[in-house]
Amino acid sequence: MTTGQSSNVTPFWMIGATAVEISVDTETGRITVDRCVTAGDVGRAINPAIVTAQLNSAAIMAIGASISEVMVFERGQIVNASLADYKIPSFLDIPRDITAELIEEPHPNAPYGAKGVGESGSFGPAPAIANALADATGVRVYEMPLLPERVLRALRAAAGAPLEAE
Amino acid sequence: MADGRKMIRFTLNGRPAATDVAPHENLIEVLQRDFALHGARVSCGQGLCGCCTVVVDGVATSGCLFLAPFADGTSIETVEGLAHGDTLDPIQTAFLENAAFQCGFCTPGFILMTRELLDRIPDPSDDEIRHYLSGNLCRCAAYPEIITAVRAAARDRAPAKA
Repeated sequence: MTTGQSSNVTPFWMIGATAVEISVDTETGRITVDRCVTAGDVGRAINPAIVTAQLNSAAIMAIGASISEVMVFERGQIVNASLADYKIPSFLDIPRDITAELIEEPHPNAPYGAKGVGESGSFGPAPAIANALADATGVRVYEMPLLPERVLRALRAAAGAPLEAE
Repeated sequence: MADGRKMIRFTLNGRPAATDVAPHENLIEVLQRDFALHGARVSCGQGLCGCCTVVVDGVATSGCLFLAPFADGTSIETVEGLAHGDTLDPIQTAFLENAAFQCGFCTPGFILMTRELLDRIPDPSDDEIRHYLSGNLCRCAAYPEIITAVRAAARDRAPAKA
């Protein structure tokens, strides 16, 4: 290795992939994730039920970060520091259809071949949702999260009828 | 008393209870401080997350918004009152067996809200489960497992078919 770092900087890398189906309300810009499938390279799944839960819940948390969770600052102060204004997913915001696939390849350098999986489901949702938005509407949004206002502005701009500036 | 403190008497998990509370104190503070019941806990403090759920006179209530003086004369149940000795309530068993939690912080609220749901709708659809529990937030996002657990609890509570 010529990185100047240790040749063993981490015991393992987490690898995951996510696909989504979404609906976009073109009048409000709101995205709903209808279906989410996550695959994780999980080493050996010692407790498959809990590994599945880890992948799905990581995906749900990432969905929140992708479409609704944003910290708003004014003069260095957070102005939405409550669960009323910082919207984490509730039961009504999660995909109706959510599944996880465990890809098992026992890791040689870990207990019983297991790996950490807490984040493996969290990489995919943001790009998957942004790509699904582009696929559904032809509009690319390059700023996260994909808040309704942001999506609506992009849709209206693409339609030649932009909203007034903020 | 000049500071407005008041002695309240109520039923707590089936037993008579009494304590001295200040007018501004909420029910959760009092349950934790005076009765060492830590199942219901304050998370958002605004009645938005359901972590502080307790049952007041049969109704699931956000304890963080319920002023302790108003508990006088009521019957209060907390998650600690669900089990009978070492025998867990079927809802608690269902949450355990289906791994319907990760960190567990929101779990007492979900369990009490599930009990109210199943008391009112013994065989709920998935949509009814989602809507009924939508006021309880789980940051670990164990929602898929919670749905499975609620379904399992509904089956366990169903009267045995002849």
